[in-house]
Amino acid sequence: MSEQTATPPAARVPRRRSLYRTVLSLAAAAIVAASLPFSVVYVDALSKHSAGVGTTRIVHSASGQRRVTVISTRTSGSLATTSGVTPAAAGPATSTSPVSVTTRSS
Amino acid sequence: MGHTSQHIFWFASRATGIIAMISLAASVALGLAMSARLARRPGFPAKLRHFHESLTLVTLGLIVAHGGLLLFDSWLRPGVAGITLPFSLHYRPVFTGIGIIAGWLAAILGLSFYIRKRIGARTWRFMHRFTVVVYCLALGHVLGSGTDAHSPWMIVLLSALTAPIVFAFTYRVLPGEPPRPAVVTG
Repeated sequence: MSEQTATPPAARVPRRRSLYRTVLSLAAAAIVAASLPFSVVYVDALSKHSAGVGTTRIVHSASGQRRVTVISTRTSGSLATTSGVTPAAAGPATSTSPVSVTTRSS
Repeated sequence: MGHTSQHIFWFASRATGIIAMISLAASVALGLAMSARLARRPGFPAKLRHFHESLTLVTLGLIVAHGGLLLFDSWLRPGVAGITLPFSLHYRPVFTGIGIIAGWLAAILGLSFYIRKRIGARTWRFMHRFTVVVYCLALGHVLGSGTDAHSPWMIVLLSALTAPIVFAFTYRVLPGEPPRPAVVTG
């Protein structure tokens, strides 16, 4: 009886290969699906870096040295960027003057 | 109400973009499942092929609608160049550019089926392998420039769409069963 139900060795190899193929595929799918939320964080960091959110730069112009602050707001995914300009002599403690930011909310 | 009507084309573009992503994922997953021979029931592959072809055409239509609707958005004002030329749109140029490349690639690879006889089955099959790249680019586009990319429901949706594609792709790439010897009858 046991001789009849036993799988022949030749058939065992493809079966095992199929099993390892399925397991590896499932593992790959699970890893990618689980890491996708982290990629959102990475892409967001990348976008913020390129947009230069909140960065303050000293700009030299004909009228003297000025401090430029890039303000980027994101409402419902839309990015609105504007810059506020203050004289550099005012010092780092001084905040930039209010600037109008056009944004779009959903 | 005024607010809604002002952004109606933007909302519509977002909606078609999300549906296009779902449709693209389903089409790519189906194609991979067919090439990996995951569906072996008699008659089933033919039905799947028909569905895959239809779904691809629907996806292309949705991609055109997704970009075309943005033309009428009074806030973005992309212009024809902005939605057809990669990296020319002022809003998140890298990620919108990736989306435009994905759209063009999808059109080329999807419609190449209809000139398969002219270009040869071998060339077509080689080209068709790059549909996975279209999905990867589209995913990057959604994550980088999608308005809803940070919403939990969107992340869950993207994970659910990507998992079967990764599974089918890995299954397709990994070495499978050796070809069965031909059965000699008579």
